[in-house]
Amino acid sequence: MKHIFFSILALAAVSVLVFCGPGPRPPELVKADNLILNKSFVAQASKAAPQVYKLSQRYYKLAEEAYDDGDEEGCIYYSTMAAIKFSTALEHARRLAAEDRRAKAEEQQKKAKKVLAQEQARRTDAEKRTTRMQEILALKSKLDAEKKKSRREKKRIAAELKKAQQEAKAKLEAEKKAAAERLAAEQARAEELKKEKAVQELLAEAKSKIQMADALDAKKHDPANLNSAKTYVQQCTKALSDKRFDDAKELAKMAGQKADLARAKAQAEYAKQKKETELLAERENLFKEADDIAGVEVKTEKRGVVMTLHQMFAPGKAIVLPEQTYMLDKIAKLAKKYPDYPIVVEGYTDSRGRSTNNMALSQSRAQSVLDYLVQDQKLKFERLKSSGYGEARPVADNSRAGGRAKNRRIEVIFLFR
Amino acid sequence: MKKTGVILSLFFASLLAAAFTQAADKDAKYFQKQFDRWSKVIADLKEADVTDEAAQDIELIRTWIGQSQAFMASDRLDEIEPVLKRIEAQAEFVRAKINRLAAEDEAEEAGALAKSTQERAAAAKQAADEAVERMKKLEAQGL
Repeated sequence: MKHIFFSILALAAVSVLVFCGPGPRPPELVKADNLILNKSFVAQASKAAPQVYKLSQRYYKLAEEAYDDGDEEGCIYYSTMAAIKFSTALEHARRLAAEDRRAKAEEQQKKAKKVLAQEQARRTDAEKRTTRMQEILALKSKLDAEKKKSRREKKRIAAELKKAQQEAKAKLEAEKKAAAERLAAEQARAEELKKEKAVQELLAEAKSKIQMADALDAKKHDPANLNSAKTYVQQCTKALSDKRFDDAKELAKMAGQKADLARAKAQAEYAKQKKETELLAERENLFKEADDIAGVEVKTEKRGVVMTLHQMFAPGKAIVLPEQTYMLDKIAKLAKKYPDYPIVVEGYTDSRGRSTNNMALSQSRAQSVLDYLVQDQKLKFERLKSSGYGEARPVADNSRAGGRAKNRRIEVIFLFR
Repeated sequence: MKKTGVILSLFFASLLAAAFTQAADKDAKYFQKQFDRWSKVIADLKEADVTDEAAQDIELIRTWIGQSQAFMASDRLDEIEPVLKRIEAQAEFVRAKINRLAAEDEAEEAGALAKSTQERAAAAKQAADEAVERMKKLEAQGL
């Protein structure tokens, strides 16, 4: 009931207000109310276009006054003008806001352009560097590929080189081996030749020695060694043909030795004979030359060439008669020509007188001849020897004068060596 | 937009001139001149209203001119002056609105351009980041 009462009371109050007031607000005024009473709109309009806003306020006030006065036509007019002016101010506000937005947008555009330029520059720089690095990578890749290729090539070349080296080494070793074999063969051949040559030389030498031995008549003086040498030569020749050089060498040596022995012996014999022959010839010459000396009797004895001189002294004297010294001079000349003969001067007498006297006389006479040969003919004293034998060794009969004359004599003997 | 501003500025000047002369000469000839002038203003405003967003507001001016002409035809000359004031206020409003719309267009255009540039910058940044990333990856390979 209370509610109904209060509702009726409120309705009554509204009715009083409606019927006693200026009447309903015209739409134009309501529209102006909606605009002008909006605080947000007011703030915008008053700030953006204060003069227009003030004008709108004035018109709105006039509209309120006309409404209060019940002047509907004036209220509508002023409300319309207030709304138009306020809307105009709002449009100014919105335009300014739009201009602000545009300015901000332009600022953003400027910044964005700057950013864009920076980013584009950054991108360009990065892309350039990337491109450069890609190029480098490509080059690196190419280089790596080249390196790989190079390594493969190097490996291949190394393998080929190794193979070639091995082949060359093998070839070289084969050649060395062949050369060594050839050299060994040549050396062996040379050795054989050397041996053969040595044997040939030895053999030739042996043959030469045999020939020499033959020439020296070794067949006569040493036939055993000579025959042995010849036999060894035959054996050596056989060994040579059989290539038994060592045996051949020994045989040649032995042949040489045997030939040497035969030759030496033959040579010795030959020399001996030669010497004897020469000596005989010399003795013969000596004899002949001595025989050519006038007044000298010459004979050859076993001991030497005996030159007998007569009538060299006066009877009983031991001084060489000057007219007889020429014989001694000739003998001295012979002595000088044949210096190898020791000379013995022997004195003899006949059998007359005492033997001791004869002995002394004969010695004195022999000495006198010796003295003459040494002092006058300058023969060496040590070569000469004198002896007196008196009446001994008579060469003739002392009973006859002719015989005694022959027994009184000086014998100068060139002794055989 | 500058052209539109110049045109509107000229109209504003002519309107002011009309307002000054309105008080001095209120006879029919004067009103007829005003009607003709406002008809031209309407044509100019319509031309300026390229988006047709102010078409109703401009149409309202035309209505009010017709109303004024009706007043003049019925020889109710005293009632013409308030209508002409409304017309003038409305024309000013329309001009402000057109300017606002143009400014908003420009702001929107600038915003779009800025956004586009920002997007391009962002894309460029992303591309640059990617390029730097690629570069770093390459650098990481020891270059």
